[in-house]
Amino acid sequence: MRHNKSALIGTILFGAFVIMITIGPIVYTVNPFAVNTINKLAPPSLNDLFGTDLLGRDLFARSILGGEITLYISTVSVIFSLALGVPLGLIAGYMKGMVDEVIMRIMDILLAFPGLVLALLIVAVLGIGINNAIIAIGFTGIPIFARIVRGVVLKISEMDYVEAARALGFNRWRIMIRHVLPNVSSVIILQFTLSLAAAILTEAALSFLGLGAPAPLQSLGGIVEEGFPFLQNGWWYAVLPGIVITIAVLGPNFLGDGLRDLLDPKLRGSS
Amino acid sequence: MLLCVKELTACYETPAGLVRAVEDVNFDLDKDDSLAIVGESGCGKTTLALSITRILKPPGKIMNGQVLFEGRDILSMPENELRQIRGGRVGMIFQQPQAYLNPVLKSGFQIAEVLEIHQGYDHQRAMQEAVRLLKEVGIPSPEETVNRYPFELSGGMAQRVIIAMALACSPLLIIADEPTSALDVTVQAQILETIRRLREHRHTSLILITHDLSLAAAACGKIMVMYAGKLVEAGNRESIFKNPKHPYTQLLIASIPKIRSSEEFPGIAGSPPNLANPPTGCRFHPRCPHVMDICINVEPPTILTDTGQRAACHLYK
Amino acid sequence: MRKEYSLSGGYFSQKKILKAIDGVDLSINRGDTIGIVGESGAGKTTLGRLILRLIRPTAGSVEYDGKDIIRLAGRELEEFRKKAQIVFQSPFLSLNPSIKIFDTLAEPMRYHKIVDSKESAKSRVKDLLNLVGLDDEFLGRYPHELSGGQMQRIAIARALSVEAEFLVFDEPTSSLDVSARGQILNLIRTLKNKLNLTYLFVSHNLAIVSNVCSKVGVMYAGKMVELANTDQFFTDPKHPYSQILLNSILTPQMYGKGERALPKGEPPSLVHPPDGCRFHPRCPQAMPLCSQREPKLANLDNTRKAACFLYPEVMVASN
Repeated sequence: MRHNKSALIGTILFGAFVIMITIGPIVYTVNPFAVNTINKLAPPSLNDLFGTDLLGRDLFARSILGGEITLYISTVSVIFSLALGVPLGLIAGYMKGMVDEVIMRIMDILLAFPGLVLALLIVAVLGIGINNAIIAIGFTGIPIFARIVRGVVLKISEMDYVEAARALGFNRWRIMIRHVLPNVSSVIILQFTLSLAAAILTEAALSFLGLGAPAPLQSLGGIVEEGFPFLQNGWWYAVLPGIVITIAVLGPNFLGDGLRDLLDPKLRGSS
Repeated sequence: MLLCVKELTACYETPAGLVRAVEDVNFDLDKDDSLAIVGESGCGKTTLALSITRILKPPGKIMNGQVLFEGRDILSMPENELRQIRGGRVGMIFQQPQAYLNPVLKSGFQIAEVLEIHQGYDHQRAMQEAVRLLKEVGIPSPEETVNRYPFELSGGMAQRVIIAMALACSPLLIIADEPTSALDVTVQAQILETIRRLREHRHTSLILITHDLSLAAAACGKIMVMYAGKLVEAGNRESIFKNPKHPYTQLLIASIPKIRSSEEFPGIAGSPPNLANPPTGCRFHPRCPHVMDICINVEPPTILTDTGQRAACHLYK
Repeated sequence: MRKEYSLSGGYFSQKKILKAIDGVDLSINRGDTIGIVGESGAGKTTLGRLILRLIRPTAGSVEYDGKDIIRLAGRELEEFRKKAQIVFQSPFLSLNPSIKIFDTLAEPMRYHKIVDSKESAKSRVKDLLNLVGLDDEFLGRYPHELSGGQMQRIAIARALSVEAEFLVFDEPTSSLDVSARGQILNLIRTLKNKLNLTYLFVSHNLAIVSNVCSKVGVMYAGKMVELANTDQFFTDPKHPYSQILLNSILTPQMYGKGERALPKGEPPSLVHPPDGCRFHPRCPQAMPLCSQREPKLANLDNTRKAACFLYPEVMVASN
């Protein structure tokens, strides 16, 4: 299966990111909170791989921590989107009719706002904080899951094996959950990777605007926001964590693309 | 000899391994001949058809062999020469007519296109010829049909449009891959009759690919039976039906349902083999009622039998 | 029974109605095997599904054992579902690819409380596999690991898992290879005798129907045009369409023989079917009356019915 270039690249990139934030703390034992004003704004060196920030803290260590937070927020928010979006899509696609109309109109309303704007609105209402960021980003991701799941469910509902389940007298909930949903899983996994990439980006944007996870547990985006004023003399402050964000976004993106190629011939049936 | 296929071997490169879809197939086809290539799904007949005009796509790959059309090897021809042959000297008809017609182009236009490209006709002349061709293939109101889109046509009509396209440049050979499987029984009968009449008229040779042995016999004078990528029997239809030599052919013939016979339906035990890992020796041996020890280890050579057909079976020496 | 599908034609055209089935009457006795033949658009697949209440009729009723199944609900509907099952055309599409064979067979039994424990489920599933000629090794497999013939056996086993007594077969062997066809047809015949089943066998293949079914019903463009015992039908088909169908069966003897009685034209549109008898535009024996009035399906004798004005009984009944 690794004939697939995209999947390979994606795995490598995302793998690198995950290794950095998991093995990182074990190998690179610098304290991310250790203030050392003498060494402030030092460029990258063997001691401080990413240089130091305004307060002399090691930026690589901070990036490791920030990466964990970024990943945590993004992953949980995608799970949130999935947990709400998938059932909605499943019900809309299987029951059709009025139920479908209502659900999809609600999704349309959510989609009317560009992702970031919606997230901003929600944070504005709920306030700043990690959990609120998760809810905000989570909400922006619901409609895509609902739409995609609905699309596949519409097709699957016409399949003979679903009709067979109806002929056997099973009630509709059992059919939806036991017979339709398992065949949607591959599409859900695919969308998970793509939504994860989007969530990481949205989270970075939110933090960049100062509305993400607050200090001292900033995510990568938060570090970039801090370092932004120093682009002239301390480029490493904003750029290096920014590169980590890029890798973290590209990883799932490529992985998702690769998965989509693998899934497509199966979705379209055998030739 | 119009077409000589020698040692044609084609495979598919899949994650599961190399699937040996067509292995070492040899046959000849003369002018005015009609040959049916018969076999079940997975026997390699479609791969064979696609290989003859070299339209087999990756992961399919032609590994070996020669396809001599009018003396020239298609498999080693440069692309521009090959394009003149495809559509020009060799016409192809596939199973699902709607899948092979461009849904956004009118049917007449699609026929005319073939003529414009291969024969250099101008558009007007090509459209007139398209109307004439539609009439020849039995479409009732050709002037109207010429302006219809494929989705407005029924299955039978669409297939006739495809036949018209295939015939447009008066090819020497037509290759038809399951041309009637997707059609109703009564329409099938009509299409077959149309093909027969056209062949008679134009002296076009025909290769018909089908899983239906009755259709093969009703339409073609020569029959070639394939199993798991190999040619197991070939000869003219009389000898094959009166004296089938290969056990697989015998079973296939026995499987043709006869009207109102209360006997048990003969089936063929077992299932078609996995072509990524075919059985050793004779590929049919696991299912053969006459299997002998040698069949398990040694691939049977193709022998000319006493009744004139070729068969690949150890029973005949 | 009537089944109409509404096709809307957009804002500026009238609503179009596609008459998939138009006024079909059919009686099936316990123990019958009745074959329904016809070409595409005949409505035979729709008929099968209507009978099992997988689609709802626009008009008409379906009575099973005296009860109108369209009105059933709750417990009674469940009872009906257990008694009448369907086997679809393509086994590749009729088995859920994500569910193991064991569960595909056990679930209906557990749901309908035919078994109450894991052991009894396992034992009954093994019995079912045996019944359709398969080994225990298939229990843990997924459908894609099976061949077409094996999958179809599982589909049949699934229908029998709820102890059905009436089976609708919708072209059960059309998607199978020749080698598997014979096996499945033999199985279908054996099971009928062993379990005393009643069959509705939908097929476009007349030869198969002639060997499996005791009665034959011919459908054309949504109407039933002939009903007869199999023997009578194949020796002496009454409706012109039946005659053409029989002539279209290919036999090896046909090669080189130019003109047989070939059908003209194609099955008609179901949105605008021809006036009068729907077959008249293609009928070699059409009379002026045929384009004006619709022939009713009438008894020609006590085992045969046909819908054609060639027969006086039909003339009488259509008045």
